[in-house]
This record gives sequence, C-alpha cells and structure tokens, in this order.
Amino acid sequence: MLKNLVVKKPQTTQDQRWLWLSGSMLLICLLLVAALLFLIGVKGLSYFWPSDHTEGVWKSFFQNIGFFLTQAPMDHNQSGGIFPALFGTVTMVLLMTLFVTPIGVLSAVYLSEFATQNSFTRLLRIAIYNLAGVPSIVFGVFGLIFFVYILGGSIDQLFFSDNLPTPTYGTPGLIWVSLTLALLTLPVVIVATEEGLSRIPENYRSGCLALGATQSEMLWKVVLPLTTPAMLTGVILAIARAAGEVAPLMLVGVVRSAPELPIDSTFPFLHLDRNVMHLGYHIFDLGMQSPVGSDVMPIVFAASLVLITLVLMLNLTAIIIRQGLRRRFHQYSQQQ
Amino acid sequence: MNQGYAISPSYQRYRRIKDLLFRQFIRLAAVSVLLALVSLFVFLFWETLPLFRSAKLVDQTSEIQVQDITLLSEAEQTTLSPHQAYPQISAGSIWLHGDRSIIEPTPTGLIQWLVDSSHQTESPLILARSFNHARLDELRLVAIPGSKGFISFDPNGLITLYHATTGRILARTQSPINPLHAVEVSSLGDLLKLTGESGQTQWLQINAPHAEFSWSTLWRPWLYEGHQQADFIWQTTANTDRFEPKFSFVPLSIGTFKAAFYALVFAIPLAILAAIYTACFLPESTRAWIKPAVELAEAFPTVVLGFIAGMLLAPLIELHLARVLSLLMLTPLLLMLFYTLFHRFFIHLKGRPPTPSLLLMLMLLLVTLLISGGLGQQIEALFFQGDLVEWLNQQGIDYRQRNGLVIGLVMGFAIMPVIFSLAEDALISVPESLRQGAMALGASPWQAVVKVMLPTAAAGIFAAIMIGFGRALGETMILLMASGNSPVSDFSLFEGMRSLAANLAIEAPEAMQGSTHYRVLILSATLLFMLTFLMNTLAALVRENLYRRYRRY
Repeated sequence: MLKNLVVKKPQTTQDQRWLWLSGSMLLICLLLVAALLFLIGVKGLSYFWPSDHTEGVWKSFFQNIGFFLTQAPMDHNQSGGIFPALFGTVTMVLLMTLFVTPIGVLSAVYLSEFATQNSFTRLLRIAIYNLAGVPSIVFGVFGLIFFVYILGGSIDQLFFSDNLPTPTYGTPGLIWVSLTLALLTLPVVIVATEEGLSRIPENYRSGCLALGATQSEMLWKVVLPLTTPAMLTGVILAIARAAGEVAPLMLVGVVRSAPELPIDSTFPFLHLDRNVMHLGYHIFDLGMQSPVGSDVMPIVFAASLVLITLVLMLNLTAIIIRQGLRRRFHQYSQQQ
Repeated sequence: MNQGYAISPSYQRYRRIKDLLFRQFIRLAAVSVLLALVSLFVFLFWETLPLFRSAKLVDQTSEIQVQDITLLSEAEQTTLSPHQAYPQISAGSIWLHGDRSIIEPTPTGLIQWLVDSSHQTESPLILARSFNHARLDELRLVAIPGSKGFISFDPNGLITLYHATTGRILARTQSPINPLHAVEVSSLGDLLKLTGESGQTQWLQINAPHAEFSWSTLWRPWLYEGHQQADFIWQTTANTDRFEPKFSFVPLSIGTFKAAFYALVFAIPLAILAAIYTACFLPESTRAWIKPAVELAEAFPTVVLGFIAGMLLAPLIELHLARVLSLLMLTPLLLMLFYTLFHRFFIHLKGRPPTPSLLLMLMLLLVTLLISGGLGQQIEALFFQGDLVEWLNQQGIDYRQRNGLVIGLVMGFAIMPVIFSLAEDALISVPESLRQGAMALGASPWQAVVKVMLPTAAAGIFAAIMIGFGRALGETMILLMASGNSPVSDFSLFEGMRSLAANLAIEAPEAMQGSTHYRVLILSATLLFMLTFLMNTLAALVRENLYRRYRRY
C-alpha cells in the first residue's frame, strides 16, 4: 500500500529547468529594455559628439546639445535644432494639463466620495478605466470630426464669419490638439486620483465629521490636501503619456514645420488656432518621409533621445511620488 | 462656557449653504463630464449612420434655375455605344461612367459586364452581376455621370435607381408623367429631367450620397472594374474620377489581427514566464526594482519604437533572417538543454544542484544566445544555400522588408510590459497560504506555482493577455512606420500589412468631410473602438471577480 505513495524520483531537475527558463525570460525582458536604452543613448549622444578631437571636446559637446535644443530646424528639418518641436510639445501638454486636471479631479472626487456605490457606478468606473485602453487614434478621429469640423466650424461661423471660407478654428490647431490630448489622458488622472482618495484612511474622514466639519470642509481641508501627491502623480503620468503620443495628433493639428511658434509677442500672445510642431511627429516625419533616407538617422536618434529623456524623467518622478505616497499611508492602514 | 467656542447661528447657516452648493456643484459637474465622455462615442456612431440611410428619388416641385443645369443627352454620354464595340451585346445596353463596364438589358434581367483590359483578343467581357427587374419590355437605361449608378425607366413611368458596384436597387419611384418619353441626367449626376410624350417636363432629385457603400462589399469578396475575379480590396482614392472606390474591411482587419497575433506570440511566453519568476521566486528586495525596470519599457514612445523597427530592425532582419529566426525558436530549447548539462556538471562537481541566481542565469543566457545565433547561420548555410530570403523567394514565399516578423518583435516588446505587469499583479495577490499549503503537502516550489498558483491566477493572467491584445489591436505608430501599409489579405509572417489604426492615421486627414470615404473611416474607428472596449471591459470584469474571490482567503 505505502509503496504507491512514495515518490520514486523527485522532479527537481525538470522543475529547476523550468525555473531557469522563466528566469531567463525575465532577463531577456530586462536585456531588451537595457539594449534599447543603450542604443538610443549612444546613437543620440554620438550626434552631439564633436568630430574633431583637438581641444575642449566636452565644451563643444555641451554646446552642440544646447544648440540642438534651442535652435530652429534647417534644411527641411534635416539639420539644425528642434526648438519649435520641443516648444510645441511643452505648450500643448501644459495647455492639456489646464483642461484635464480640474475635470479629472472633479470626476474622481464625485466617483469615490459622492456617488452611491451601486452596480451603475461600478460599470461607469470600469468604462472610464477602459477608456485608457481605447486606441489613441480613435480619440484622434473623434477630435478631428467633433472638435475640428463641428466645434471649430461653428466657432468660425459665429465669430470669424468674415474670414470664411478660410477657416480660423475649423482647421487643425493647437487648441484641438490639447483638447484631444486632455480627452485621451482623462482616465489616467481619474484613476490616479481615485486611487489616492481610496488610500486616505477612513478614520480621517470620520474624525473630521465627528469634529463637526461639513462634508465639503472635510474634503477641502483634509482629504484633498492629502491626495495632492496622488493627483500630481496622475497629472505627471498624463503628461508623460501625452508627450509620447503621436498618432491622434497627426489628425488634429500637428504639422511637420510650422512657420510661427504658438506663443509670441503679438496679440493675443497665445495663438490657439495655430498649427504646432511636436517632437514625436518630428521623429515620425524625419524617419519616414524625408527624401534622403538613412542620412537623417543620427538627427532622428538625437531627437528620440530628447523625447525619451523627457518621458522617462516624467515617469520616474511619478513613480517616486507614488512610492513615497504608498509608504506614507502604509502605516495608517496597518493601524486600522 | 468660553465665548471663543460659540459659533453664531448665521455662520452655521453660511457653512451649511456653502456645503450644499459645493456638493451640488461637484455632482453636477462630474455627472456632466461623465455623460459627455459616454456621448463621445455615441457621437462617433451617430456620424456613421448616414451610410445606412436608404437613397431617395425626390420630386423636385420647387422652381429650378434651369439655365444653370447642363444636361447630358443619351448620345453625349459615350462616343461609341457598347453594341458597336461588342456586337454580342444587345442594342439597348449602355456604358457606365468611366467606360469600363456595360449594363445590358436581357430577358432575365439587367446584367453588368466588365471590360477585361488584360486580354485583348479573346472574350474581353466578364460577367459581374445581375439586377432583377420585373418588367423588361421597352426598358431604357441612363448612366449617371460621376458615379457608378444608373437609371432604368419604361414608358409606364417606373423609374429605378441602381448602383452597379454594390449591385443594389437603391430607389424605385413611379413617375408623375405617364407615358414617359425620355429621361435626362444633369452633368453633376444629381438631377433627372423627365419628359412626357406630350412634352411636359418634371424634375427629380437623386438623393443617394452614400450609394457606393454596402455592408456586403465591406466583408465579402467583390468583383470590381478592371479586375478578373472577386477579391477583398481596400482602395479608396485615385487620381481619376472614373475610379471605383473599393471599401473592404477584410484586408485591414486581417492586417490588424495578424499584427496583434504575432505580437502576442512573442510577448506572451516572455511576459508570463518573466511574471511567474518575478512574483514567485524573487525576494521582495529584488522584486522592488525589477518590476519597475521592466515596466520602463511601457514608457518608450511608440514613435521611437516604430522608427527603430522600420529604419533599423527591418533592414537588419532582412540581412540576418536565419539568425533572428533561430534566436527566436531555438533559444528556449537550447536553454533547457544547456541547463540540464550544466545541472549534471554542477552536481558532479559540487555534489548539489546549482542555486538559481540572476547572475548565473545571465551567463547561461548569453552563451545560449551566442550559440543559437551562430547555429542559425550554420543552418542557413547547410539547408538554405546560404541565403534564407533568396530561398524563400524561390519557394514562392514573398519576403517584404517591413513584415509581420518585424511588427511581431517590436509590438511584442511594446505590449510585453503591460502583460507582465498585470500578470505579476495577479500572481502576487494569490494568497500566500495556498502556496505554503501546497509546499507543505510535498510539492516542489515549481509544482506549487504551476499546479496551485497559476490556476488560481489564471483569470487574472487571461485578463492581462486580453488587455495586451487590445493594446496591440489599437497600436498605430509602430504599424504605420514598420508594416509597409499595403492592404493585403495575407497571414504570412514575411508579408506586410495595413491595420485599421494605421489606415486611419494615413487616410483620415485627407478624407473629404461628409464623403462616403470619410464615413467609412469613422465606421472603422467605431469598430476598432468597440472591439478594444469590449475586450478591456471583459478583462476588467474578470479581474474584479478574481480579486473578490481572493478576499475570502
């Protein structure tokens, strides 16, 4: 009887084999990430590296970087700097932040503090979370038909009818880019803020109410200030996502070369109707559509390096803030 | 007691009102935002509805500036009647706009013939499709300029509007003039002038803005002008107005699913095995930095990945195809083999099996990668005459530089962190007690993971794959830059593709607002949206159920 229960040969060798295989897969993932970072880093930096190694190599290296970041492109974008693209990216992303932060925070506060938690809000929440997974190009198409054609077209008819048929707002432009990006990143902000709100220990809320505060006072003076880092994380993640996004922007107002910056000294200073340049689109355009072909590789790698540095720095900031936040509230949830 | 703590009733009232206003404001604002968000996609759907509206022939009773309208007489429409060019065709037949197909009235119904320009000598006409018509005696036909539509009428005054491409009868109306002598079409193809026997006239407006769209041309093989057999074709614009637009979603859908499939084939084993190792075998301190390091891959802008795929990887893979394929296929097998050898050797040397450490694994992995790469080259030299791409071409397999393999690799890399992260979350939240129980009953660590933890987390891992799949379906930039964008209906690994998303990025800025092309593109965006949204919702529901189940332990 007992014989059947005795394991004759422990399966450790076979087991270990699988263990090592899965470990190797993890290493392959890490190696791929590292290789890509290394490739872009080396290729990008070598664009700035001065060709003559006589004197002051480092000085001219940094000068090259400065030149690249602050000068306008020349020769059909194939040489010179990327300043308008960088400036356009930053402008549209900041404008987007103005739209998305209040709306996102408001919706998150409503969803987690006010709405009754029934199956309808559950579905609504799932739907909003899933908007983050909807292809960005769909948002681009929506932006094109709703913002540009319908909203922009009616603004033109109401306020700029003297300029018609030349469209003012009924054509792709900065404001539509920012609004489309805001739509695209709204779920990111809502999710992050909701997560932050759910991490505030319940006894903070009951403590406030017990001391006689109204619900709005509790939210304004205790809960929302504590959630600020979470909101910040959400906004930073939204910015990181928006900065790397290209596909929807191609439809709503990003161009290969814009004659003017969206902000200048002529009234009204911020030109919402202008076309803008964008770093990601700059890379796409140079990489895919330049006539010379592989001659532009170095400058595209340099631009990619700038874009990736921007996005990675934003992501890292968000991760650091989030880690700090988790550690901070960890102790409270332990005490409960 | 103390005066300082007393709060005046008016201040209390002020606070209460402020609270009320604040709460109502948030409720109102948030509900309107959420409703607006939902209505976005209702709006997208709404924009496609005109496609499905049926065409009409409207009585134009109001005054028409007749002098502004140029009419095409039947004789002006073509230089030569089809009967003169092809004697086998009966005399009442007409050329459609563009002179590349003929509509012939026969005793059984109307028949469309296509001119086959590839064979000049024998049977130059191809039977395309037939249209049913009840009364055929004395039927006369008029082609509509600017489109592939035509009109049939008989002396009794029954006027029928057809569209040749879709093979549909769009509208049918009884003319107010009876008996009917002649029907003329305006040169823009939007008005009909009916003339009776006694000379009285009547105008009809042709209201068929999206006649060239039909659900069956989207999904079925279809025979178009200039083609020999029915096929799935997506070709929306050309520089002539004789062009027949061809809307088939099949090549685009195949391209989308093919790209996503190859990406998943690459990403799933990598991400899931890596997630198992991270969640189940790494100490907490290592896990804390390894997970964000893999998730870093998610932060790469896809435009950069697309650029690297299209400009760097595609030429490189074409050059070293055999090496890449053997790296992909042989590495896991060789890894197992080498580990077994290493294991035996280690036991022989030290008397105990090696403890798994990332450093040792890295060394073994690098050796394996080197060997499998080299092996690929040897295999190529031995079996494929030293050039796999050339050999493939000889076998009749078309090799494109920008192909499914490049897309699979790079898009697989792009969705790998998503699947990894979610699968790892699912595994790490499996209650520790389950695993400990399994181990206490004598399972080895790997057995505990495979037999107990994996089945428990299976739903979560499935959800992770679904979300990765959804991501791959909608990915645009990588496909736009590295897939070649040719809309072919082909599942081959070495052939290019065009996905729905890339197609939108290419064509949406150029489509004329309100045209059929524009609305078909919106329809494809709606389809893409619904597909990914359903997939994500399913995944979210699965995940939610899973976590509710865990809470019991």
